[in-house]
Amino acid sequence: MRESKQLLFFYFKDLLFSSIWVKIINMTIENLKNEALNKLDKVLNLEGLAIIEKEYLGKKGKIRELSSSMKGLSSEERKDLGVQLNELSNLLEEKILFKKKNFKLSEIRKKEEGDFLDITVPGKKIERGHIHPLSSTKKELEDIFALMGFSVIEGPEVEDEWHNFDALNFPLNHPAREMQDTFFIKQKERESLSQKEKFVLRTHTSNIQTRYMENHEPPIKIVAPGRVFRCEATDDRHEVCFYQIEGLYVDKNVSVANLKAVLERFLQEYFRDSKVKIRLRPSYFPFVEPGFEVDMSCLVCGQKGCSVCSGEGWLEILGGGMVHPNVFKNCGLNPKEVTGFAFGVSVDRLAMMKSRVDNIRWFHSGDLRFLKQF
Amino acid sequence: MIISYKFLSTFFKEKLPKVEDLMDKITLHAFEVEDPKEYKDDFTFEVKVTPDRGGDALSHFGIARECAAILNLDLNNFKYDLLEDKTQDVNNFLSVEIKNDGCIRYSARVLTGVQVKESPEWLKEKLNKCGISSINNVVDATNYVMLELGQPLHAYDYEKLSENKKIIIEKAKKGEKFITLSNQEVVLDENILTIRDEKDALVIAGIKGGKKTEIDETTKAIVLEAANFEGAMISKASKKIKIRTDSSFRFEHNIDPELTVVALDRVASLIQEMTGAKILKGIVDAYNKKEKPRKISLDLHYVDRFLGIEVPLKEVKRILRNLGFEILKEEKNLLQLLIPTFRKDITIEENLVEEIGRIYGYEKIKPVLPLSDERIMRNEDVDFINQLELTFKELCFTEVYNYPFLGEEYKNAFNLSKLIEVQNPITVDSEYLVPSLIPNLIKNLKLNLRFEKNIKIYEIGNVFKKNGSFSERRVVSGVVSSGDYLELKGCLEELFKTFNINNIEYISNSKESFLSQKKSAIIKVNKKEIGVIGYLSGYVLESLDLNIDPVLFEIDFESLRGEILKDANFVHISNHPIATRDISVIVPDMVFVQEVIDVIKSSESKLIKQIDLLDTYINSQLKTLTFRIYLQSSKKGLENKEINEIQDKIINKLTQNPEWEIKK
Repeated sequence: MRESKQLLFFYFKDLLFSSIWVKIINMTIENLKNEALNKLDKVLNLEGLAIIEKEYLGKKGKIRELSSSMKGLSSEERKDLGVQLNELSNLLEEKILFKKKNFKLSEIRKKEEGDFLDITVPGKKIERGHIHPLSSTKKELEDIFALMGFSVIEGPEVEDEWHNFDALNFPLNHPAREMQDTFFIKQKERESLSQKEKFVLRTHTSNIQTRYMENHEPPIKIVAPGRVFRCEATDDRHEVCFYQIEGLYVDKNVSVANLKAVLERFLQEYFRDSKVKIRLRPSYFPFVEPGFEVDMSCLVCGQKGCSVCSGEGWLEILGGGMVHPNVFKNCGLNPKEVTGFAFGVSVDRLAMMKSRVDNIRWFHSGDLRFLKQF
Repeated sequence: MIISYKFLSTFFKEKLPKVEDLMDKITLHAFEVEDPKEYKDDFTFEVKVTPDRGGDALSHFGIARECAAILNLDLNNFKYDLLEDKTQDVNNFLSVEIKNDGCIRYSARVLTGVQVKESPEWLKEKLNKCGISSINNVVDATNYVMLELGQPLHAYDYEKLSENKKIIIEKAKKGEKFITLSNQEVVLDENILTIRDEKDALVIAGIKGGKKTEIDETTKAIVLEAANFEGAMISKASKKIKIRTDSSFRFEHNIDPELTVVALDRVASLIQEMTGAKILKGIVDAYNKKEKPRKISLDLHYVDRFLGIEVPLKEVKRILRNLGFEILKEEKNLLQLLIPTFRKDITIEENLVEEIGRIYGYEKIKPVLPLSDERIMRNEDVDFINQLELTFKELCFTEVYNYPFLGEEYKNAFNLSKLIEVQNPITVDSEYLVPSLIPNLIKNLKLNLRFEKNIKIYEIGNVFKKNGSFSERRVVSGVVSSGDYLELKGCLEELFKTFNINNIEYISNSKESFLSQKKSAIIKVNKKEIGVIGYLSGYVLESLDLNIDPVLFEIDFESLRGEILKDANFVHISNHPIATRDISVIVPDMVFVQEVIDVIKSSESKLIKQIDLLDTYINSQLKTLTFRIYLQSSKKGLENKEINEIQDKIINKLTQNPEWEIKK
């Protein structure tokens, strides 16, 4: 076949109209294409594929050969046919590449059939450190309040009685003073000292509030986190020392409605649940008037009543109220000019609720079996 | 205080809501209510009256007054029918003298022809439900009226009073002995108020009755006492003698002096009803300083602004009236109010705002987020703590929290002094405040060694010391059980790097402390002491029976924070090749490696990129230290000639010390 074409070429090239010649080459290209595709369809492995590749696309392959047979044609005709040849060559290259990839893949698959990894073997024990759950909770709370514009302020743990009690409107010998069992610091002739010279371990972080108000002008918007102390018998829910975060907001027109909004928003953020509701119940703390016990809707049962909320649908979660005018006076602010709210919540309690810790004493146990769970 | 639903209902004509609803209402508008109990034809529940309201609310009547306001119901007018024997004036039979201001009012009646016997069932039952056991009809009647009206009462056997039948209220004598009704001997002192006849103390005022004038089956005539005492004084006395009764509990809260006569009439009529006793005409009443009711004006705008809700004027007035406040005048937005004497807790306008707010209902207040434009300040201390916690976590340390207390055992083992002492420690091993976090960390170590071997723990907390005044400072401390000094030091070095703290030195520690003198160091940054690192002294190890030798550190928080370089300066990274040279030097074994490193650095510091200690070999009081020195220029590749020159220079410097020798 090849010889015959060449013969045709030699004997008739000058005689025939080049258009006929072009037609013949056209047909040849078409034949080549069918022939090659046919072979590619039937090829079974990489070696076979290599032979086909060489036969058509190689340096001495059929496409090159045909291309060089076009020398006698006009440049326009050559260009036309060239494009066709190029297309054919691209098509074959693409097909061959695709076949090659498939053959390789199935070859590798075959090899991999024997592979085995026991994916169920336990991972290596990697050592890492742990942050105390109260630290993380405290930070989370500080962050939430920062989002609402509260700055974080700290204060001393050994505090004088003035800043821990008197400034906060706890009258001497008043039953309210006994509401918080206090650790007293041993001092010589304690009774003869003034209230600012007698020291206790702070029973709340309200001492930070009194200290801050003494030195700052409203608007005041702070949270006071820290360790507090109560001299009482411990049990699952009571500790000798625990952490509190208290808030204070003082400005020209602060209202109970503001307190409600801030506390509700805070609990919604902390528990990541926009459905959290709060309710205020009347209560008494000397430093606020009115004073509230704040309940939050029970998230465990959705207020249907469960063992966590003892069937009430509500959980007592924090205490708060409107700052008592006497507290303002004691701290050098004019109660005629400002109002404010204050609140306090136990960090331990919030951490317990979130991690379902059943005993508050774990936090100060120093037991790594507990701490390494966080 | 236990409240009986049925008892409470007697104050109202109308029916009260179901008990659960009533409890809810009281909880939301007045006091916490708990512990409901069901009886055959009654319910009881406990009302937790807040300390500010003890003066008016510690009775069924007090709670009824609250319910009247909450439920908008009318209270029954109670009037007690009492038949006095007009022929006998009580003043001829009894006189009273108050000799101490602690007694605000003393009212008494005398009854004759009393028959002391068992109480009727209804009375016994009522008392029992409210947690009081029945004694006899007279005593029970006094207790009943206390539960009803909140006025503690006492009954004396008239005939057991000394001759002149004179009652005197004055302080006890120091060391005076007193036998209570429950046969308990109490030693009194001059701060304790007593009710006496001319011979003996009869009652510890407001707290507990005495044996001498006890009512018994033979009693025919009685004195009924309704008195009023200053709360603080009763509270002090009660604490002193460690006796707290239903009576003292009420007096502690300063009850209304106007109540004595009402209660006295009530109890007299009740005893008369039960026993047919004769009531002598009149009341013996010593009331020196009659209290005048207080007046407060209330700005209605302020109420609305303060609560953040508009309360209708009609509601405001209704609430105030229901609670017993009298509206004297009403002008524009101002109400002039008369505060009844039983509401001693109402002294300022804000108290009235609370009354209106709670009865109207806090649930009606819609939350409003405040708008404000104050600047939020970053707290650098808190920030640094958070960063430290993250760093320690990366260094595989676990954070612990300890009580800041320690006891005698650890104080002695660690040889601690100048400690702050707690006056009322909760346990014997917690009488001092910690001057260092190390002792409790060692305690943690001992606990955890039972469960694991390789322990790395730290704490950030305050330590306390008495230096004339009380000082409190924050420290960061940690303990590593492996006892690997280099591991701990490596951790600290990473920590310092994290915060860009440079210029660190470790200086021999010669101070007397719980640390080993030879095996610990003072850490200095920029020549300032910031903390210590090292091992415990042998004395501590032995005292605590520790069979490992942990290594530890304690760093002052403020000092550490003070040395942080805010912004790390980027160091140019050179792409020129690094040349290394190893040098081994033999030195006496007590020479610190740092000394050798300092000498190497001093020779050609600019091109020395890094000095690593590759190996230490100790042999008969000599140690061979092998260093790898990394040389690099930021400008060009170093030529062999240059490198050799530097090496020679280093060797030259090292050998200037006659005791040091280069190993060839």
